[in-house]
Order: sequence, then structure tokens, then C-alpha cells
Amino acid sequence: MAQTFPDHPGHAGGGALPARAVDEILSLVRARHGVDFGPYRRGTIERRIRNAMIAARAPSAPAYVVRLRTEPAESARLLGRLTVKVSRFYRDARAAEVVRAALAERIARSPGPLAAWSAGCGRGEEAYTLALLLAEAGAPAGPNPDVLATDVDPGALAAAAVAAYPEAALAEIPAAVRARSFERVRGDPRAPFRPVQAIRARVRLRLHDLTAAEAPPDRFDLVACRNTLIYFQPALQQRVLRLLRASLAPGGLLWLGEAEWPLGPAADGLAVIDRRARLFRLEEARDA
Amino acid sequence: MRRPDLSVGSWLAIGFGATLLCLAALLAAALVLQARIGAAAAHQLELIGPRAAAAAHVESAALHVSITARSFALLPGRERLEAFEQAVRDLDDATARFASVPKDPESDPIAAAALADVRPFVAAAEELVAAAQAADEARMRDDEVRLVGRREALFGHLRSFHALQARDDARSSAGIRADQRSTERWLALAFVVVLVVLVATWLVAIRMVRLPAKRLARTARRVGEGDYAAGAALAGGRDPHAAPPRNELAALTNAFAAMSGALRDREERLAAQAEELQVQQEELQAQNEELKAQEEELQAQNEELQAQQEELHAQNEELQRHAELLRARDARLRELVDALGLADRRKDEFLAVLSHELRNPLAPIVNALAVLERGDPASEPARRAREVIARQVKHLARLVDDLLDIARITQGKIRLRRAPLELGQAVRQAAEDNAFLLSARGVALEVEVPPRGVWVQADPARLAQIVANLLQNAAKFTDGGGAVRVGVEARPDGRAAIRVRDTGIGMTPEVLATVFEPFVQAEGSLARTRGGLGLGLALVRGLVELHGGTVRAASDGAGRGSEFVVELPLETPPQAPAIAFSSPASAPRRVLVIEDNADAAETLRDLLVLAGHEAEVALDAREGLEKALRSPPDAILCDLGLPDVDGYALARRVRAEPALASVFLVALSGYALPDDLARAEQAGFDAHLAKPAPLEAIEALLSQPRLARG
Repeated sequence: MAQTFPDHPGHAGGGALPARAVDEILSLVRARHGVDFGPYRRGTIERRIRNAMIAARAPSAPAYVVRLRTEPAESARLLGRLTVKVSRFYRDARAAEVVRAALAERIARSPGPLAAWSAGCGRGEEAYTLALLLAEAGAPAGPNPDVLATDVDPGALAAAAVAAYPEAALAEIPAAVRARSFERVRGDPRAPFRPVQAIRARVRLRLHDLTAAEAPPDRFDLVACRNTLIYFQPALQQRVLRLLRASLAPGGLLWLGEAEWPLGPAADGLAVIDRRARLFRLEEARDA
Repeated sequence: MRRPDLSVGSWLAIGFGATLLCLAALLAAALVLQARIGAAAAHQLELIGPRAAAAAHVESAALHVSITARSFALLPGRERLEAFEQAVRDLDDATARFASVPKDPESDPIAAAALADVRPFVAAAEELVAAAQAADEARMRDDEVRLVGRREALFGHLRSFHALQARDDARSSAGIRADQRSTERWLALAFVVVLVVLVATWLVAIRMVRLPAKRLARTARRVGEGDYAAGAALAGGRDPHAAPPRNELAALTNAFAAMSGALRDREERLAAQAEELQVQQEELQAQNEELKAQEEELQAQNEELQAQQEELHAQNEELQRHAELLRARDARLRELVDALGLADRRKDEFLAVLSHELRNPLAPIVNALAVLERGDPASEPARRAREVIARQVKHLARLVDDLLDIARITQGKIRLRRAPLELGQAVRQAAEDNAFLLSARGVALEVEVPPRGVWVQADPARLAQIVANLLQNAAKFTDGGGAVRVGVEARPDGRAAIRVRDTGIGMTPEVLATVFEPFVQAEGSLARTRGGLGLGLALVRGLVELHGGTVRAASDGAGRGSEFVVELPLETPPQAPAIAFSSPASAPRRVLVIEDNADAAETLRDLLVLAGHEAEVALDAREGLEKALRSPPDAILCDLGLPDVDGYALARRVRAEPALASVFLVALSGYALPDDLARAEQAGFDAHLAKPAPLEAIEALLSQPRLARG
């Protein structure tokens, strides 16, 4: 099957996608799924669109636009591709330990249930990680889920609900934690591990667009938004950061990804708990 | 019996050859016999027949002679005579013919005898006839007897001849018949032989062709169905590599057997290959499945990798952005450090200049005091000394005022008392006030103001200060013989301008760049030929900007004079008198003003008094609290930026005192941001005004029936 991919980056003449086609694709996605990818980093968006085109075997950008119009499943796949995140639990064992210690200290200071929010949870690894950390820190599990997990891609949320993961995704979890928190499950042999019911019960999944939200869904003691801000342009980053900050209860913890640092006015009042772990706390006393 | 190995063709050739031979022999025999028959028949036809016929003819002719003779004898008549003659002639012919006919040796004598008899006969007949003619009966009877007798002799020979001929004929016919029978026998024999040969050939053919062919066909069918053994059986035990038999069908059979053997070999090989292929195919299938599974896994890993790569990319970009921000911040910091260094150096320079400038007046004052001490207070030197002290103190005071003003401007603590002002008048007044500076140095002064009023909203005192400073500056840097021109104009773009131009030493571009900076001097040397602190123009800029205007400096270069232009927003000329001091719109109140800026405090008090209220002033929080406790006022106007305790704290203290709990607290601050308003309210203030607070606003507040909250 000889197909030419004139827009393929590996192609001798391949280069950037025509801007008009990209705009058309993004407006199509906005119309279908309600998510506006305009303020996301352009380079990332174009690369992901190109990958989707290659996977769909579309020979050119305009042809792919036609595909998107005629096949609803394809636009859902594209949405998944545009929002896909690296899927591993913990992501950085040291940072996770720092968070757990901070949570434990908080519980020691003021016992009681804690509320956590995984903003941009992808297929659920981050949400269940938060649940794991809460459990390991000794936060009591009430009748209601204490971790809110949100994402903009319904496909990812569906996968999070199934909660079946391959062994590779569990690589960074300490062995003891992993042994008591995961169970084997039948079904897809490539994804045989699942968090135990006690952990799964702590997580509530909801569809939510971080970039379009006007107000935070609630107040939380721990907000994790890792490796999500890097995909936004600076203006959108500031907006989302303000939203995240507004969602912190006094003394609440904000956990960002390795390359992220709160800058600008949204960072007022955030004290650094651990630089390398990117863990921050909203100071209890706001303006006196 | 082992059949000789001949080809079918050979057999057929043999068979047909034999047949041909037989046929040839038959043909030869038949020809011979037919030739004999033919000869015999010819003999009969050509010899015996004619002989017999001739003889018969003679006989019949003789008979006819006899008859005709006798008939004539009986009845003589011409016709009968002619008949007789004819008969005799015929007999002669017949005899001639008979004589000419060839005879064989046996019959020849008889024929001769017969012929010899003819004549006598004829003679007899003739005699008879003659007798008849003669009608001699006697002779007629004799002749008749003789005739009959000769006739019988003739006939007898003729009959013998006949018999001979008949015998010949019979013999010939018998010979012919025998020959014919021989022929038949030969034919039959040949037929049988041919039949036998043909049958033999047919048998041979059957055996050598049909049977093998049928067997071959059968075997071919069986081989076609897969029974190769049948094919192999065809070969018997013959060595397949020997020369093929000459018998074509045997050769064909051998070849067929060989072919069937080869086919079986091939089929076995093919079967083996097919099995091998099957095994390979199953293996491939298994591998394919495995590959597919691996491919799916790879796909998943690939997508994961892509996501990771994306993330790294985005992280990288983010880090780069941070690095850029940090670099920019770094550069900014360096700039700030440099600026700080520069400012520090300037400050040091300024302190040096300041100490110098402050000491200068001290010397004359010290001397003058010494004079007063020693001398007579009423004397002339004492008077001069008092004048010196007054002058130098005034000079010092002006220096200190300038310093204070600059400090207050930078801290934002200057409060302007703005009012509608006619610029022309104000400028003219200020110029006149400072004219002596110029005349003392021999510099001419010109003032140009337009006839129609140019109105601005300005603080009169500060405006005078601005003009004075500009004139002092012009005077300082213009040598004797020069001129200074002051002008006022209303520009069409809604701004009013004050222009001060001099013909002095001018400014280089470096000087122009920093001329409005505080502590900057045109000449940096401590020789200080011109004197001063270098604050005048900085003050001008600060005050002008507080008024919402701009000031610009320009010069054509060193030695070519300078020009300073102040621009202020134009105002419409007021219809009513500038400052309306209305009679108190409300009941007179007792007001305490707590403000550390004495000017501001004083003027505010004056205003309040003019408005009909009672006013007291405190210059810091402590004093204010004291005075408030001593005689509680109705309202306190409190500056938030007090030196010892800030306004918020003071408010809280005031509210904490039961005696002052119902005092109307008004906050005054340079900025009235929402944060400040909120804080003020939280601290206990009832109202908040931004400085400079217009009288109307203060009046409005004070005129409320119930001042304080309950």
C-alpha cells in the first residue's frame, strides 16, 4: 500500500501543517466536544494532529479534515490524542513521598478527612496516586469519595473508570505499597493490574474542562495538576493557575509537574514546601 | 512361444505382405487359367465353332440341295430350279468356306473326305435335276437313290466331322470347365489363405494393439485415480533403462509405466513438500499471531513514548521560558543594581555638596553672632550683622525647604491646593518677585503674557515656586549682558505653556538628559562657581507633574542658551469667583486635623475656619490623641501616613477610647485604592478622602446630620 504523506515530518518535503487546516481541525473539535485547544501550545497541538493523521492514514491535512467531518469516532480519537498524558503511577517516587509526608503532617495537626483534586487526571493514574497517598498518610476514608478526578477527554475518563493498567505503569510505586494496593484482574492481558476496591472507592470521576472553567469546583486540601500546564500558552497558564490557587483551602497543598513553577500574580501567597517535588502551600493567613 | 519382438508395423507389414503375396499368386494363377480358358474359348470360337458351323452349313446346304432337287424332281418348276441352283451355289459357298476353315490334323482327313463327297453329291443332284427335267422317271429314281446315298455319305463324313468337332468342343469345354474349376479352387484357396492371414493379422493386431491399448487405457484410468501400482505393474519386470522395445505399444506401455512411476515419485515428493509447507504455514501462523501481539504492544508503547516525548518537549519549552524570565529578571536586577550604584554615588556627591552648601551660610552667621555678642546692639555693625543673619537664615531655610519639598515629592506627601488661576498674572507676579536676581547679575528680563486670560487649575504658591526656580536657574547660568525671556501662551491642543528662555551657557546633550534629576549639577566640580543644591529643576518637574503637566528642556548646545517649557492642562475660565468660601452649609463643627505636613495642616485648618468651623491641628498621632482626649472634637481628619503611628492604628486607639467612640473619623491618604479603603474601614474610619481633598467633599461630610456611627 503505497501512500504518500506530504505533511509527514519524516517526509523529505514535510514540514508544518497548513495553518488554515489546523484552525479548521481545532474549530471542528470545539464544535463537537466543546473544548477549545486554541490557547494550548501550538507546537504540541500540531505534532499531535500530525500523529493522529499518520495513525489514521490520511494523506494530507485537508483529507484528514474530511475524515473528521464524516467519522465521529475519528474526532473522538483526535480528542484523546490531543489530551493524552504520560500514564504512570507516582511519576516521581521521591516527590510522592514528600507529598505523603506533608499530608501526614497535616493530618497530625488537624485530624479529619481531606479533600483532594486531580486536575487533568488522564486515564486515572494521577487520581489513584492521590488516593494511594491519602491512604498511606493515614487520611480516614469517609463514606464519600475524597478524591475528585477531572479531565476534558471522556475517553480517558472511561479508561479511568475501568482502572486496569499494565505492569509498566506501576514501576515507580514502592513494592510494599504496590503489594497491598493493587490486585490482579482478568480481562485484557495487557492491563492486568487494578487498584483495590478501597482505593478505587475514594475516587470520583467527572468531566471538566480546566481551561474553560470560571470557578473551581470546590475547595481542596491537596490539588495535583502535573504536567498539564506545560501544554498551555502563558496566558492560559496564568488563568488556570489562578483557578487552581482559588481552589485551595487555607493551608492547602498544590502539587505541580517537574518543569512547572507558579509565576506571576497567581503565585501570591504560595510558599514552597519542596522545590524539587514542586509542592507548594497556600499560606493560612491571607491579607490581614 | 515367445513372440518375436517386432513392431506392430512390422507385423502388419508381414501380414499385408503375405496377403499381397497370396493375392499376387492368386492373380497369377487366375491369369494363367483365364488365359487358358481364353485360349480354349478362342479355340472353340475361332476354330471349333466355325468348323462346326461350316460343317453344319455344308450339311444344311447339302440338305437344301437335296431337298430342292427332290422338290424339283417332284414338281419341276422354274422357282424350284432356281432354288436348286441357289442351293447349289450356297453349297459351293459353304463348301468353300468349309474348306477354308482351318482344321486340326485329326479332323482334316474327315473334312477332306467330306469335301470329296460333295462333288459327287452335287453331281447326283444335278443329274436328278437333269432327269427331272428330262422327265425321266427311271433315272430320276436312280438319281434320287444315288443322291440319297451320296448325301448320306456326305452326311456321314460331315457327322463324323461334327462328332469330332463335338468331341473337340466337348473336350475344349471340359478343359475350360476344369480350368474354371481350378480357378475357383485357386480363388477359394487364396481366399482362405487371405482370410487366415487376415485373421492372423487381426489376432496379432488385437493382441498387440487393442489389448495393450485397453489395458493401457484401464491402467491410465486407474493411475488417474491415483493407483500408481497399476502403472508400475505395466512395466512388468523390465528394465526401464533398456532400449525401448520395437513394438510401439510395448514401448508406449513401458513409457506409460515409466511415466506413471515418475508421476508417483513426483506426487510423493509434492505430498512431502505440501506437508512441509503445511508445517511451515502453521509455524508462520503462530509467529504471525505473536507478531501481531507484539505489534499491538509496540503500538501501545509507541503511543506512550510519544506522550512522554510530548511531555518532555513541553517541559523543555516551559523551562526555557522560565530561563528567559530569569534572565530578564537578572538583567533587570543588574540594571537596578547599576542604577542603585549610580544613585548612591550621586547621593554621596550630593551629601558632599549639601554639607558644603549648608556650611556656607553658617560662617557669616557665626561671625555676625560674634559681632552682636561683642558689640553694641544698636550700632551699625550690629544692624548689619542682624541683616546678615536674617539673609543667611533665609537662604538656609530655602535650602531646607527645597530639600523637604523634594523628599515629600518623592514620598508623595505633597498636597496641592489647586484652584482656578490666571496664569499670565501669576507668572508676571512671580517674575517681578524674582527680577532682582537677574538685575543683580546684569541680565535683562522680558515678560510676555497674552491679554486674554489663560486659566489653569493650580496651586498658586507652588506655581510661583515653579516660575521662581526656573528664573533662578536661568539667572544662574546666564552671564552679564544676557537676557531671559518669560512667556505664557494658550496652545490650541488644550494646554497652557510657560516658556523661559535664556541666552546663557546652554546645555550639552549629556546635561540635557539628566537636567531634571535631583542632585545633578551642570558643573560637577566643587569649585562651585554657581552654587546651589541642584534641586531647583527637580522640584520644578515634580511639582509640574503633580499638577498633571509636563516640563521640557531644550538647548542648541553649549554657549547657545536654553529654553524650558512647562505645559499644563487648560481650564475654562471660571464664571464665579475662584474660591467660594460659602457660609457654613452646616452647623459649625469642631474638627481636629492630624497631619504631619505642616503646610497641609495649616492650610486645611485655615480652610475649615474660613468655612466657619473650629479647627485644631496636631502634627503627629500622639499629639493628636492627646488633643482629642483633652477636648473631644466632632470630627477628626486624619492623615494615614503619620510618622510615629500610622493612621489605622490611631483610628483603632481612638475607637478604643469610650470618650471618642462617636467621633467622626475621616481618613486622608495620598492614594485611595480599594485595599486602602477596606483597611481604613476595618480600622474604624467612617469616611475616606484622597488628598488633596476638595473643600466641597469635606463640607459634604461634615454636613451630615448624624456624624458618627452609633
